[in-house]
Amino acid sequence: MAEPSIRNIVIVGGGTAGWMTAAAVSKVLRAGTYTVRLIESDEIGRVGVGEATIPPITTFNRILGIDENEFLRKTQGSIKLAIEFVNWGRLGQTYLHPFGQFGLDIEAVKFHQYWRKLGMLGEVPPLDDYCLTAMAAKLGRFTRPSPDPQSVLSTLKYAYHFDAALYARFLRDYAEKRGVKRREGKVVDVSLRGEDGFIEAVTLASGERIEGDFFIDCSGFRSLLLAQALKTEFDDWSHWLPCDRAVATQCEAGGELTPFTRATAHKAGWQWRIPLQHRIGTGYVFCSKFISDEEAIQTLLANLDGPPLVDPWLLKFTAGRRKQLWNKNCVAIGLAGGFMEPLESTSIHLIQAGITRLLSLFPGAAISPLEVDEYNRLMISHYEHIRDFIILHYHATERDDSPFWDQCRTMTVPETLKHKIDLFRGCGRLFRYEDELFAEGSWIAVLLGQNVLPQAYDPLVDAIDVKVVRNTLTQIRSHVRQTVEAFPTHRTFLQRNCPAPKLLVNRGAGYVGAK
Amino acid sequence: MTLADNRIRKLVILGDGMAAWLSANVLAHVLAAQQVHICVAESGGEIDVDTFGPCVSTLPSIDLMHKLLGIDESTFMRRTNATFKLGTKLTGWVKQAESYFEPFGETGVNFEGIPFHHYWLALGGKEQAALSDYALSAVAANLGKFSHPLADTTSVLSTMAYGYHFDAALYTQMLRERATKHGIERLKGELTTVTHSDNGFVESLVLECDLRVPGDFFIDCSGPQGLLIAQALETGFEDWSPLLPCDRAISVSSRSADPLMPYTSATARAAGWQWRIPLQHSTDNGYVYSSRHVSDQDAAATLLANLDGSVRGEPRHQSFRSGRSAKFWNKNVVAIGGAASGLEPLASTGLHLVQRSLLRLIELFPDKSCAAGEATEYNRLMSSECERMRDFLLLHYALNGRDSAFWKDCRAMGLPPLLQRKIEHFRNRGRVVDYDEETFKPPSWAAVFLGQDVRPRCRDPLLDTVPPQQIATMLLRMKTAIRQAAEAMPTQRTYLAKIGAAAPVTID
Repeated sequence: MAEPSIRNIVIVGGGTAGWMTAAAVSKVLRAGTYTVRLIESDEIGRVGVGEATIPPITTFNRILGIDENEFLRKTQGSIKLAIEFVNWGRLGQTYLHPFGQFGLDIEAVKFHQYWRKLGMLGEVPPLDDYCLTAMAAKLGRFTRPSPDPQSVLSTLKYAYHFDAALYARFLRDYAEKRGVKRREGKVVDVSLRGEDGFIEAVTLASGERIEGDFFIDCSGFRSLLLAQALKTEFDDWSHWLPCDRAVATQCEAGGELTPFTRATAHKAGWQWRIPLQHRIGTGYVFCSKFISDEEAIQTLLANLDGPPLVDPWLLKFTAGRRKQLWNKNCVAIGLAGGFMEPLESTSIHLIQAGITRLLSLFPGAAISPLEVDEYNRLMISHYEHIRDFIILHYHATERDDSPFWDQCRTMTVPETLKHKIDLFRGCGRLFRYEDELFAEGSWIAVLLGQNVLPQAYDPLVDAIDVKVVRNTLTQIRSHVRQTVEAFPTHRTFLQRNCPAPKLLVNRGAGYVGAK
Repeated sequence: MTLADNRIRKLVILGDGMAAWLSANVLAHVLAAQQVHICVAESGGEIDVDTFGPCVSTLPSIDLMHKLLGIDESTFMRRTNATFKLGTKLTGWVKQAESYFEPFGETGVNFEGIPFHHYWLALGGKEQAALSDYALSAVAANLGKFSHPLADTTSVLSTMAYGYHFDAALYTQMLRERATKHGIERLKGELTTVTHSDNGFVESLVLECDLRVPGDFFIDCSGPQGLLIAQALETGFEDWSPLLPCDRAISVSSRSADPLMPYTSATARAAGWQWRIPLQHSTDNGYVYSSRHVSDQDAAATLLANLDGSVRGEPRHQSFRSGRSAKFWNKNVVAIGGAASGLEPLASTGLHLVQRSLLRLIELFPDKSCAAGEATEYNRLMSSECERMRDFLLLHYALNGRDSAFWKDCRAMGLPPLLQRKIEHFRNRGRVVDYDEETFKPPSWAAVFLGQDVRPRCRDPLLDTVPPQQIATMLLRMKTAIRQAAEAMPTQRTYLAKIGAAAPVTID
């Protein structure tokens, strides 16, 4: 068999995407066989908004062999069990989207079907009461899940909030120890090979030319290689996801350290709130067609937990993705490939998904169009499933208090999403596409949380006596509550296991936005 | 809510074969507390509308259905002349007399997340062992041995999985007895008329003697003729014969030969392939062929010349059509079994599909109106599942290495794009693309690709990080452990007797 000719890998851009990629590549493609270089410039700011994650991040860290306590300490990290959605279905309405499942299936029929039946009989216990993760989030408590599948504690799922810049710094140490070479400098030119248009080299401002066999574009919104050099077209989703700007800031942490992200819907978009050990990250994602930047900043500043630590900075974006995420000898990871607002904390996850798929299809002797097509097929379907889930939040609303919500409520949604909503509305049925990131529990949380109530329940539910159903549900509920009440509070957990050093946060020293 | 009023109260199953009676048993079990009246209208009279020949070869999944119904394994095996099945041996598909094995259960171990077959390929010419030498099912099968797999996942004995071979008529009889004992109504008589309500739903079946059978929901198990789905509702048929040219089967029973092998054989012949299914006291043989390439007489001669025991009874001819109903669920009718799809038995998928249809129907069980989008979802899922299965069958034909006109035609066929992509990926780097709703998981596909002599152009670069000597040592250790475990097992015949599953000898 031919010797692999892909030896020399160049990552353009640091930040979360760049260093996650470098760390994973340095772990899986062992040093000696490959040369990995990462080019980044301290002059270029980070976007720094994707600081909330979803449970697969724990797998990523585990594969790298990262100690969880050390990681949380070094990144000012906290635990995330859920997202709390405020004002989405209706003004004044709040629901949780917890990680993990609701209740237990009974006789192969889904739990929420029994819950729906009791609801139709007039008894409406909140669905959250049956989910360990949701209950822990509500009560602000946490402990690590049990590895014993028999224990209810094994159903606890969690992710993290962390300071993305500190995470990148942490992974940089990791990758550099494993042989990744960092090059300081700004890329000013990209040269393509004449015969096939592959990227041959990038030139830095210093005049230094860095050649490579394979390039990973982690340059963020600029998409230096994939969009600018290779002219890969963009698939624009702004007709479904009209928000196109965000103003972001950081503020002092208030009293309670909530183990969940909060997403509050405002007049023309929504505001995130991500609590870390040393501060709170927050920002308003909005649609510039309906409000001005100034109005957005005012709304943001009026809704802070504590005094702001930095001046708000502005980000501009378009929802969508490049038509190919892998083009010629270049793969874009992170924002260089596409952008979806962080409503379901998928930014870092999409980086991870890009990395794991790239590694499983990593080119051998030469780059084959087969692997390129397969990578694109898998990533595109991943993007689209997530897109549908995010659109659901905007579309399934009764809000009619602003033109923005009127537009979202009445827009035409993708067929795949329409099919899901219709099926659920009928009889509470859900099907997960195999490659789909968000499992049944997530869809149920959002659909029910935003008032998409099934008109009927699964007829098989009637096979079980309603008294038995009622008793089982009561038992699950009290078991869940008792279990969670024994957990330490979130803050106690962090203090015991992974207290982060007190950082002196300089006012005005926040991150700069992308142009 | 007035939901309860709209619940299905009467369910009618049309047909008298295996699919009909399995449906009756499963639905009666699941709907037990719901006061649904289930009735089987036995129209037809062909007992084997759902099978090719008198015997069935299954996938491991059937065990799940038996556990659900509480069917005791030894009793079932004793009553149906059944044997265990550990996989299929394919002979002559690439070169005359050369065989490979598609085992159930696991082949090797996926170290570091890299599929096992990559390690096997990495040994290249230095290692003479077949891929199936790393599958306990295959090694035990070739030695004629069997014992139940263990649940302990640290033991090599947990890596096996098994299905069955059994007599279809005896099995149907067992299911029928079980169903009638559980209160399912059984009506006999040819279907004469189907009446519809205003919205086009089926309202009732009229059997000869003017017996009218009304229902809220109907299951069409009437076999390939599709009395309800195809005839009454005119659903339409998607013809797959341009892809799968075989359209006839001839089958015959022969005396059983010892040792009693726990696997199905599929041997390529000039215009199709021949099955051999060993039961406890007889062997079922059949030739599936293309009538455009061989006459019925020549096919019969080929079959009779290739038996390993003396013939019992007359050969039986059967025609079939490859394809599927354009919809599996139309209005208030779901087609299950031969009425839903026609797929030759090469991959033993017939009963599995019946089972999958029932599980999907239960997941999506409707009310009388069938208006909550269930049918659309059911059809989406079942057609993908059926098509992925078809592609798996097709793969065996597409990759053949034989010379006759039939086989050359098979090689020249245009393939569905999803299958084409799968083949290209494997040829390139040995990667198995896995789609939604696949019955056969990547290790099964890899067994066929490699069995049919496809060798990837290049190796997985992730493998470069494992030293070759380490791979060689690891594989040798694995092969030895598997061989030892298989040799320590009893022969199938001994084991059947030990667990009380030996069927009484019938006198012909």
